[in-house]
Amino acid sequence: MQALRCITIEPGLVQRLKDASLWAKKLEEAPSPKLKDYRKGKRHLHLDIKRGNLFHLCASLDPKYICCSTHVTAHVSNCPFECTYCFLQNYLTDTTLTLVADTDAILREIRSQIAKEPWRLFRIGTWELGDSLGNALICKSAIELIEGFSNFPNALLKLRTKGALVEPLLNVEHKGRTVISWSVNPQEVVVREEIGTASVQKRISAMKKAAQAGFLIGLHFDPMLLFEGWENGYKDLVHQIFAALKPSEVCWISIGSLRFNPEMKKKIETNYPRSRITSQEMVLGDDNKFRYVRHVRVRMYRHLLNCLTEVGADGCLLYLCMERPNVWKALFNQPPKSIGELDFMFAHSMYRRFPKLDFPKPSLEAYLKAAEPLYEKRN
Amino acid sequence: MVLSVGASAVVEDPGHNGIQFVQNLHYDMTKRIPIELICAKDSSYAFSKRLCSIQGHMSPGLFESLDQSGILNPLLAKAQPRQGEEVQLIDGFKRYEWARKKGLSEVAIEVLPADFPDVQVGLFLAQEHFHVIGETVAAKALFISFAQGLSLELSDMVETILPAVGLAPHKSILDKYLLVSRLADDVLAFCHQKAFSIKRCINLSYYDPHLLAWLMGMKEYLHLTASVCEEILDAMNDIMKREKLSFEEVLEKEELLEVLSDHTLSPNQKTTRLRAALRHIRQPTLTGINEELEDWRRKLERRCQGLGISWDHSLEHDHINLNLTVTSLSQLQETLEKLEESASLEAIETMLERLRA
Repeated sequence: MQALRCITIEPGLVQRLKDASLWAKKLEEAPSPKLKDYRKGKRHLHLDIKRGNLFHLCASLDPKYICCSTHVTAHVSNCPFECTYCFLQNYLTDTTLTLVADTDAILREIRSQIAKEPWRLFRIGTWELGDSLGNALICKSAIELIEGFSNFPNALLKLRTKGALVEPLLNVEHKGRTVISWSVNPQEVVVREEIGTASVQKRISAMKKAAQAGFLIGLHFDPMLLFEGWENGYKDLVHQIFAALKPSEVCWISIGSLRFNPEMKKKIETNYPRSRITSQEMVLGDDNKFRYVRHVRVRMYRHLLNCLTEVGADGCLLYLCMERPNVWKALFNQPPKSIGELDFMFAHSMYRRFPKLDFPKPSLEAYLKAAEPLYEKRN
Repeated sequence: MVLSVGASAVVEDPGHNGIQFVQNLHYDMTKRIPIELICAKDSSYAFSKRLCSIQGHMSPGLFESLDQSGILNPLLAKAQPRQGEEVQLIDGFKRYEWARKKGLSEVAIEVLPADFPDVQVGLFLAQEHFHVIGETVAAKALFISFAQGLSLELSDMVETILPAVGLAPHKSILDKYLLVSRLADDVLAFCHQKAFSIKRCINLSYYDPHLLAWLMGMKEYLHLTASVCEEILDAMNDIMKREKLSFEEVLEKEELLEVLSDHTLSPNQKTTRLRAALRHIRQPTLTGINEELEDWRRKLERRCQGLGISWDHSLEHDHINLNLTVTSLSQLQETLEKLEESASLEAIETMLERLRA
């Protein structure tokens, strides 16, 4: 496989890379090493051409759950960070950290897809198989995507990270069409389970800079983990974040908890023998995923929602990731009843809360109709 | 007479057919040699001895047969580089043992030259013992580990030894079987006895060896299948990690002590109760709620004849299923009336509330 082109690295960006000589080498045309070792793959960046269609609905979408029906473009594969619970350790066959360098081709594909449904507000992430801002080179690619999305009338670029690398983005013309979001957990979880990621304090500092640069901010309390003192841990985390951010700067907040399939359990225990995340009380559901018992999950989510209410963040769009209707019902007064309805709620929230960004006015009927095929497919 | 140093038979490359190769040499190599010149116990080629670790010892039937007919086929050995050294026995350990017991001074033996390739010896042994090796993953793993002990080249291991035991010639497969071969003897024997798949064997290799040794020590008292083994080991592992206890400390928990010290239980009963006790410790919320629901279920089913109640025991779903089995209209009417009574409705409401998070 050959790199289509070399991406120019400015001296300031290169200094942030751990091994500049390695990246310089990778900028030349070189075949992918197709590595198998999960950790080794993280240290080798391959620049690739766009192969086939990268744009699709998030692979986790399941009609059993009320899903947010986000779209993704799979332009990053693998991640420089190392979270003990990461599904990539069981998922990737080629573990080489790969970045599709041809952002023009990515943007062309997205442009043609979003033009088919001009009434819809697409939310398009780049984080499905990696971190959207994991290193300086990925950041450089993200800048090109931000610039491209700034001209899209009905799409939002969703960048999601556990890092703090926002400086290169701060002066980019985004026109409100990019949301930078952070996955967050208490610092003791970051230290134990999110190896190599930025500390909570650094992430918050980066959030503040991004917000000041006018970016919309997203927060993902996902996966929430059970540990001794979890209640205070999450409470302190929420207060730390909202001491730095105003709720009006946050467009959405997602909540989810640890989940993994049975094969992943062995993988985590082998790769991270000191981690205790797999030893908590978990139950295998009919979707073949281990989760905390539903009653425990609801307790965790309820606690977090109470903390968010305390800091005035309950006006943001709050949603659950990969949860059934009965969990939503236990937590929200007016939960969405379907995937289509939640999709509409996103669009409606953006339209109502950020009128200057001129998003299309959403129609509930259109979103419900568009989601019907998902249920027909299941039946 | 033992072949002198340096002598070797010039033979054509037999390909991967160890037995034929040996047979071709037969007429040149068969000798009668003093039994004390045969190294058996410490022979590098004593695979059949390794097999005993998973198969158990030789049946007395073979000795009886030798008593009747004597040794009909010569033993097989390989010469040592230095003249005067013992020959290393390759095949015929049981015949050797019988000959020693009988006080024989000499035995007929085929002696391969000192430079005879070990990979060919390995191939011969694989074919000779294929009826056992081919049976299970554990036996294959044992043989592969034995072959590795002959210091064969990696290419020989992958391209010759793996196919000889019925496996595809890939290094990843070699690595998997070597991982399995590192299981303790009693665990490997158990895997052989139960004919565990490669996946099950590899799964066992992830557990603390002390935990495995404990479980193997319990196998006479429990009814252990592959999935039950994994369930028990997983549960013990999770409890140890979550509560930061050693496995001995976990075994001292009251619920487990009660089951393990009850000698009146059959293996099936003991296994069932042990699994239930481990589930209780490992999943207190889940088992607690399910136990409450069970109580209500029993009460309701006693009240309403023909009523069956079920629910999702993982508690992901929060509904209950009511099934009615009726044999007559009057029974149906009676059951429906009972269901509509306030005590029944309260019980159903309690169950539903418990299922709601």
